[in-house]
Amino acid sequence: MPKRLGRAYWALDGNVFDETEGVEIGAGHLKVEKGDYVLWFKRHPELTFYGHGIVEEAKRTAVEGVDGRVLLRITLAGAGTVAFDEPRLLSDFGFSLECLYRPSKPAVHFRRRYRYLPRDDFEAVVAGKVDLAATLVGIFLLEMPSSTKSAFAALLIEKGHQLTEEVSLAKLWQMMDQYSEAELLAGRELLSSIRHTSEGLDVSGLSFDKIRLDHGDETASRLRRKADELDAFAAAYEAIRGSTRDRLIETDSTPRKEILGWLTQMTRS
Amino acid sequence: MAYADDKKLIAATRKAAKAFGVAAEWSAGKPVRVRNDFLLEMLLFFEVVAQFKGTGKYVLEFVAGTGRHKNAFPKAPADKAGRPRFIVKDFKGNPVCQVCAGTRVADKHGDQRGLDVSIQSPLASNSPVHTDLIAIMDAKYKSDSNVRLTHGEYAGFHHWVEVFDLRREASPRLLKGSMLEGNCLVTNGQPSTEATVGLRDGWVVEVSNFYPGLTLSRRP
Repeated sequence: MPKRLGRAYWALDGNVFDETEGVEIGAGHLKVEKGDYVLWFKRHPELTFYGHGIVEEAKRTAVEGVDGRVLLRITLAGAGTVAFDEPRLLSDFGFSLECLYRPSKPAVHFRRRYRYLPRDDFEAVVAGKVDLAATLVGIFLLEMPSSTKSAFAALLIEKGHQLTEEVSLAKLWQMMDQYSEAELLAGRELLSSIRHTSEGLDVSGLSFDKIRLDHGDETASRLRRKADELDAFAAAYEAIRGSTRDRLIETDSTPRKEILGWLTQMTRS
Repeated sequence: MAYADDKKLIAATRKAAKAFGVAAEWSAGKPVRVRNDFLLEMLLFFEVVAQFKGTGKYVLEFVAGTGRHKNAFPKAPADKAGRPRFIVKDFKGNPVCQVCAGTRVADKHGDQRGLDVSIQSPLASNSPVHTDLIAIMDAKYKSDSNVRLTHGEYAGFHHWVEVFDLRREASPRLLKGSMLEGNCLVTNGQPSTEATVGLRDGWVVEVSNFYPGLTLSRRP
């Protein structure tokens, strides 16, 4: 095998390659060598990196009678695998690794038993370094219905922000927070007052559970249901609001193209 | 910060984001937007009815709409027929007025205008006209509650009072002493800068801070 320049970084399926007597692979595949770094992952219940190590030996033995196939056995240096105290969920790194083009479904990048990783990505996983601003903003944008995205994009423009890579993630988060406050949390307060006032009337035939908002296009929505959904959002949001604000306030990093694309073109993620 | 902390925050954020996704739309394609969703108007409607109850002089009767409008309040101005409303009666059982939400009413020139809340005479039909009106109300939602009613909003409402011929002392003062007596331009924000004497002259009342947790004020 020709000598490579420098070391390579690999993500390997631990169920296949970790502590096995040898795995049959194509002779030209998985060019792991002594001195390379490996990151072990398991797929279940979700794709998780559980440890890493340095390759001591990648032994390839020809499989008898089968052309072009070798038996690969990887041995790690030193004490072997260094297990992470806190296993890294791939889904947490969807917005942090350069090699993931589909941050919403990062597992699609790990369909094979092994893959090459850029050095920065390898190191980010080992260090447990998540790009928190990109991740939190990304998670919210992913769950935003497209009608809300349009309204949110309109709000951004109205407040004088350009939808270019120059808008910082901290600013995007702050604007999403304002949107939640101005629309969802305010709506919740009004619905709760409507409930309180209408129930206080205590008249027969009227119950908050039945009141609906007629959208004027043959559809109507039950206020009670929306009130419950907004309550659920308020509770879940309150749980993260303070810490996300504290953590994101200082970041000046800017969003990746994909994230802005979701806002500006409503492209599929 | 260690990954373990980030992991927890990410999981909690994912949960909040999912709840956001569910709560942010009434139904597919219809985002919750407070200023378009008739919520302040609906609160005003129920609050007007509550004020009637609060006087201790009336009995309320809820008249449900018909068919799919049984309990559905219109987001955009709609016909009165088949929509829910209230009939306010005195203790002898005589109706004194009807309270309607989002109803179209013809002004004195025959133009149909959608009124957020209208107090109509007990005899008003399903095609009400200006002479059926006792008082009108309009709600103006401000996304920033420190913002004032604009001159334009005041002028528009003033004009309505004019074309509905409601500049008269003759209207029965059914809600005497209430915060919502008269032709009320209601906002969760602040009053306009219009001269108070002008409001009095135009038979317009501005009700501000109309929002849960704030203290209502009115002028004149």
